[in-house]
Amino acid sequence: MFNILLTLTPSLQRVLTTSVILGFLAGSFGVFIVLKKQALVGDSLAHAALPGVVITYILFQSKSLEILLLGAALSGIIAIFLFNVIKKHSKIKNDATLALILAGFFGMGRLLLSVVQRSSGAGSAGLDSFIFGQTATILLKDMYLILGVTVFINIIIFIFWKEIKLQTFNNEFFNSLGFSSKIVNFVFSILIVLVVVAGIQMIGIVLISALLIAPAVAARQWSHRLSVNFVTAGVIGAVSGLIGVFIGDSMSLPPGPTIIVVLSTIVLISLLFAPKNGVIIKQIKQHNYRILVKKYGLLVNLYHNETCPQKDGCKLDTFVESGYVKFENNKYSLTDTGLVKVNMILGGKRYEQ
Amino acid sequence: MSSSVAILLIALVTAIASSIIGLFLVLRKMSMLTDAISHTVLFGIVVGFLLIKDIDSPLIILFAGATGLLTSWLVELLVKSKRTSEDAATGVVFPLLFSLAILIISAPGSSLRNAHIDTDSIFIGHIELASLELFYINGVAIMPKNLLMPLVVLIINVVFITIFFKELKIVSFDPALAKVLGFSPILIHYLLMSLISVTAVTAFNLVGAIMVVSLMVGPGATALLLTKDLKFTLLITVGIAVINVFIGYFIADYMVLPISGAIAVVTMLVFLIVLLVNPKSGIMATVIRRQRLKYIYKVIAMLVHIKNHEGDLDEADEISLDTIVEMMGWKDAEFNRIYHYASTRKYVRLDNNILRVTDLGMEFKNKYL
Repeated sequence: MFNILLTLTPSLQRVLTTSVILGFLAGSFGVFIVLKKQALVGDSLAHAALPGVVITYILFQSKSLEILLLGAALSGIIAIFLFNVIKKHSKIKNDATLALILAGFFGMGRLLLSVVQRSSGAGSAGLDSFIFGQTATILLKDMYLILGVTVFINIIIFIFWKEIKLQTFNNEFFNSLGFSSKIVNFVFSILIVLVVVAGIQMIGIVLISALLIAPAVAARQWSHRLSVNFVTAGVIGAVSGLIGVFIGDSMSLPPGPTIIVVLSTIVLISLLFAPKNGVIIKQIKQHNYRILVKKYGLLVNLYHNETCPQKDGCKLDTFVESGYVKFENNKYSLTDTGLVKVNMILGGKRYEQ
Repeated sequence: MSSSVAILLIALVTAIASSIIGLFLVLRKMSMLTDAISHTVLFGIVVGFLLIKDIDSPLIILFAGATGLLTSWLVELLVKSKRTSEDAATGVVFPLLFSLAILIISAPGSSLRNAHIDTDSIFIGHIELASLELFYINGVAIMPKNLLMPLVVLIINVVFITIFFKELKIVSFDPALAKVLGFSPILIHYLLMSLISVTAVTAFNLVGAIMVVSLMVGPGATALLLTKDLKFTLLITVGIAVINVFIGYFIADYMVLPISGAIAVVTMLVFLIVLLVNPKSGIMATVIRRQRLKYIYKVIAMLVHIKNHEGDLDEADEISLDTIVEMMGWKDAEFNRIYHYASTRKYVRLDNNILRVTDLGMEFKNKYL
């Protein structure tokens, strides 16, 4: 594996590493976003970043990533501020507010972009690569920047793990302990902006939200535990990043969409094959249970009615042979093993324990 | 028909058709589904093109409409599988279909690279060019070809809303009641989704994915700030849609900017302005009302204080004109304003430098307490 990696060109190595880091960051952090039911906030904030990118380009005439991302973060924060104002002062539902902000900010970004493209021509080429993402422009310092964001956010999550967990699952209790969920929510929004902004260069504005949401949805199928979910989602994000960029590079396709397709495949596999709640496992369980009920239905009937339902030709003789039913005093009744069997069927279990 | 009038007309018809049907999504808290559908119709267009090989074929619209339905169905499927909330399901489904579309378009050697489908037309559309082709009946040009579809969609939407107004109302506000009353909310839901999809495709072709969101959600959300009656809301929605298009168009025309982007920005700004200044529940009205109430309650606090100490032995310490400032814990300037307010309205009178509440004052107090 490592031998293969070493034979790659340095730039591809760099891009692959970045995609793995980014995938882990977005995937693991996304678990909280999905649990807090803010899945589409990321989408809205990503679109809101576009005017920030273009305005900073106009102001500084530089395409250096950290400056552009600063602008993106600023306009993301303005979007959050607007969102909170609208939420506080109107009865408009959150989803409509998100849609409005998304469209308004993105429209603004497109307007500014057309102004820039007209005035500076070729100099601004590449700015619209933020929309679908691009790997060719990722430099070593960009990789360190994304690594820095990842370490920073993971340290915050690690330190405040208990608090974040409590606030996510039981907000009222969290408030009653004297913490302010308003502050937490605000900080959380800023962190979403950070993650989104870190990812838009590679994945693009349109698709970054999927990198936040899909790993969490997939991981959720495999486990109930938050910590396991956190790590699983991170790994799923990282693996999709790796495979997606690899496929994209070898077939010269844009990396954002390939990553999302790989990721969606993992989500589909998780939905189908997860050991406890997967669709296929559920179907098999149901099928087996149906067979069980068909086979032992009369036994359950005997358990409920204490007599054989049909007066003549009761088909309980096979059960007498297998020792579940005894025939005494001209009456059928369950034996002890029969009783165990019935309890087992009614309890929904397939095998005796 | 001159080119700019034609473009304006196309934009207006598209905006009205989108906004009236979008209103019901806003009411049902499904606004972000417009974002999802407006992206996934691209998948339908691409698949349709691969099969039919003609980007102008009306069949493409059917394909794209079907993708809209597919999106909504997939989202529901995911939600039903439990463990996925609706927003997360939406956030998984539409990026997948959109990614597939982009991959098909950008695949090396793809025939779509020359078929008008590129980043710009996906996101901002090409409404500026929409008036070029004309629609002929018996060899006579009657309108731009691109006006035809929006017009048809508008008529279908209006007919649908008129026929199913009652049903839509109940399904939007009380789905449980809708079920009890015996008509299927699911049927209405899928009819609505079909219309949303077809409307989205039509709008998508003209103004691009992001603008579809703003056309569908913006006017409805703005109208809901102003009224609660559904019929009025529909009318105001149409009005706002028209205003947004006009302002957006003229700004874009004057400054030579993309029309659809300008309309999207104007839509958000109009919403924010209405939120700020609308007389009933706007931010400014609320702030002013709160300030006024604060002031009135201070006056009432003073009246209550005077009433409580009326006839007490230490009356002179509590409610004489010189001491009451201290008792209420106010600054002099503040007291002077409040005293001025109360005395000019004859809520209080002076009796040997001791304050008394008049009957008018009692009336005023009882009105608020």
